[in-house]
Amino acid sequence: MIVRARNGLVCLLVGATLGLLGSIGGAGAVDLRFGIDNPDLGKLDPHATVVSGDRYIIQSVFNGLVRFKPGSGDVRQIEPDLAERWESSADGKQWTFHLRPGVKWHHGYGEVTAEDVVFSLQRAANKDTSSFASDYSEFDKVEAIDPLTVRITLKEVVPSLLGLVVNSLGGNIVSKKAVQALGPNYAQKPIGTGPFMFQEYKPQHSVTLVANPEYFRGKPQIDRVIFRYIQSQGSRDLALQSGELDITGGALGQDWIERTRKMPGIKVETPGLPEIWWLFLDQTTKPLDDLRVRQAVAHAVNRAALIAFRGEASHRAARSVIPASHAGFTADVPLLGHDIAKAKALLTAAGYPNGVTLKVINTNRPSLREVIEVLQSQLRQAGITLDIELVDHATYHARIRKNQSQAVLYGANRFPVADSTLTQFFHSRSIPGTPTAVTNFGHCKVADTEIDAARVATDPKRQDDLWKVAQQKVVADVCAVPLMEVLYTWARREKVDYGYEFKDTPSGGPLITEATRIAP
Amino acid sequence: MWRHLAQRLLFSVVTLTLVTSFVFVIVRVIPGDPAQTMLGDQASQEALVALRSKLGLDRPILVQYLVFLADVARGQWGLSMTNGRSVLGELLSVLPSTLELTFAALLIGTALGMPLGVLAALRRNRMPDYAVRIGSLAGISFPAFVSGLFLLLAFAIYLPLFPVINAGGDTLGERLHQLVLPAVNLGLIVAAYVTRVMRSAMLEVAQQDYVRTARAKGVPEPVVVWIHCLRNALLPVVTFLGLYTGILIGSAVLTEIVFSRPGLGKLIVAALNQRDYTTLQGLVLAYTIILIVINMITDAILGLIDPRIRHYRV
Repeated sequence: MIVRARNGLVCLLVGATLGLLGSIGGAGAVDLRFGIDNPDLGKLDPHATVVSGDRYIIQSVFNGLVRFKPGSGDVRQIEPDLAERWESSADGKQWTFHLRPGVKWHHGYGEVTAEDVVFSLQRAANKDTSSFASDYSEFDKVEAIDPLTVRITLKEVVPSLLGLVVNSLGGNIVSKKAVQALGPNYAQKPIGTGPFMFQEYKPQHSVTLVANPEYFRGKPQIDRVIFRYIQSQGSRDLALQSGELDITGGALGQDWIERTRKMPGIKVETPGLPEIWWLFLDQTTKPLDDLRVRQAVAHAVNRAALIAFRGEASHRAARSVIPASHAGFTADVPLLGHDIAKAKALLTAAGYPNGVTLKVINTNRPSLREVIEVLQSQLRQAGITLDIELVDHATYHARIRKNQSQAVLYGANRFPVADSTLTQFFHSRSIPGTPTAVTNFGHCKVADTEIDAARVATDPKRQDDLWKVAQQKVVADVCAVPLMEVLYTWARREKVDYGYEFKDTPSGGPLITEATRIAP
Repeated sequence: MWRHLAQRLLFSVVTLTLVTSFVFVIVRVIPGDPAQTMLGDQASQEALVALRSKLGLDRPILVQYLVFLADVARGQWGLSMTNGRSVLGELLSVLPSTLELTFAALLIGTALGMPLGVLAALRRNRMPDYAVRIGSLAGISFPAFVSGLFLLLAFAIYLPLFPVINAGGDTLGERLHQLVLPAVNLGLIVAAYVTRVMRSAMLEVAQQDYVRTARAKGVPEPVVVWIHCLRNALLPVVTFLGLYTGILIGSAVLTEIVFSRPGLGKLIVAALNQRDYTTLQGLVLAYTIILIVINMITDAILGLIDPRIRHYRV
């Protein structure tokens, strides 16, 4: 009797275990686990967030009227997304987009109409609802011609209209009905049209997306994407090693790349569209108001040594004041090379034979701190002393915008068309302290005419020529010393196939699409 | 007794007011701009000015402070400036994880630290004492960040018993499984401190007259040590634990980061980095309330251990 009972119990346990295994195997759910280095979610409202980790998620949830070809950041390879086709007027001021019929919003919010697109672009242009409103300042009106046709009329031609309606930042199309129904909660429960739908958010832990079975490009091959918030690089690396993560962002240094490449079954990638880092020189302060002193600083910088220090696998020398991957880039600029003797001679000629001291406010974030320290030792050889004050990151951002730092070390990645970087960093409208200030820390104003003319030029050849002259003038005036281009580093399990070649990353991270799959 | 309680409550209100006022002013005085965090580094000055005005940050600091006090009085904790979520909701969502980790670490720390402290005191200046003292010094000196990664390497990679990253399971079993390594990491630090406090308290008590009297009248040694000495030696240990629990909640942030656990420490650090004034104010208010409660509990425990404290109060 006892034996029978015990046998029964064993059978029950075995049965239960097999049942459990069966249910796990039977469900056959394919999960992709994606490690994000932010401490937590910001907002999943594409028009309101400026957090990189949010963008990795948003790009799988939303579509634009057009999109970057997956794995590419080339504006010349932009392809249809929610719009099937489009045309523009001869003067480039009127654009008509024809929507793909039958595209459905997630979670039963109906079909995408021209009204949604009008609402969405107006929302992106409104500074109360959008972080990117200034990008849309040239929008005159956006109208729905019929349920599937949208017309955008511009006040003035812009360098890349498609860049404003692409699946990035303000170009993501949101559902009018959902935004109005959910109000502020929309930022936590986004409704898009993309291959994956929002499912769950766990504070400081994760965001889970599930496959959208009605996605217009076809049902995704992955069932769920789980974005995990893991701040510690060491923990992300160990989780990749233990098999708890499939994809994760890496560190910028050479040692991380070399170490991770050695992990079995792991592939490290450094996609294009890098950040560019500069040392801005505020030419309104003494002694930097003298061009010869700025030239001396440029000659004292040793790019090759800087790259060698940071690692060649993820860094390359800057060749102009905008990244080489941006439309309108030219390497035909008078960049000053490393020459300590020349730097000293220039300082003497400027009346500073005993050298100069520059006040620098720098963030204590390790990556930027390391670089300013290297620059400090390089410039010292030419008699240029950097008097560095290290502060926390938020303080750094606040104080450099109050013109308190004579030399500003800064890195950025803007929309990959020359206009964005040139306008924000080298146009006089962007000088800190002015009402239209952005990030022109060098107080540069030599290329305003060319930057403005290029923006409205309709002939691509003339536009390129103007951008070239603008870069040449900015380099010659040494508004900033371009230092290096910093590539993003990513690691994935080899069995993860993005479904495209991961060459560029407009968002900074890999895009998970309907074609992304995990090999068994 | 009632008078004492009323006094404590009054002190608590004064403490709360002082701390929240201090934090309110200090976060606004240090450089940094929540509008910049929200709009990013591409934002134009015009957009920043508009947003600051919308957030009420352009008003005089005194007006902002009165608005804040009025909100607190009505029990409104507000919304995070950076992500728009409810501050109270954010706090409540991470509080269980924080309390779980804190109490598990205290449990491990006390269970390990007290016997080791007693052992070291009993074997003073002999081998066990040296070993315990060196061990506890190592525990205090080792950064939680480094010891956490070592634990992960040992027990999640080489011996894959635990997950590297918190799996976020909600059942009791899953929660315990993902709690073990972080609790051990933090618990070892607590144990290191407890050992040292316990040891010196035991040594001090052992020299008291009543202990000598007990020995002289032939009380068995185990009774002298575990009843007469320990009870009195516990007082500084409990006081220390009370103080340290408050510190632990805040300083657990490194352990939370390494083991990717949600927590109050992480929330506070993120809010500070982003200059999220409303979240920071709410969290500091909550943190102060927690500290006050812990202090009250500590006092109550001290009263239980030592009747003199109880009687003194009455």
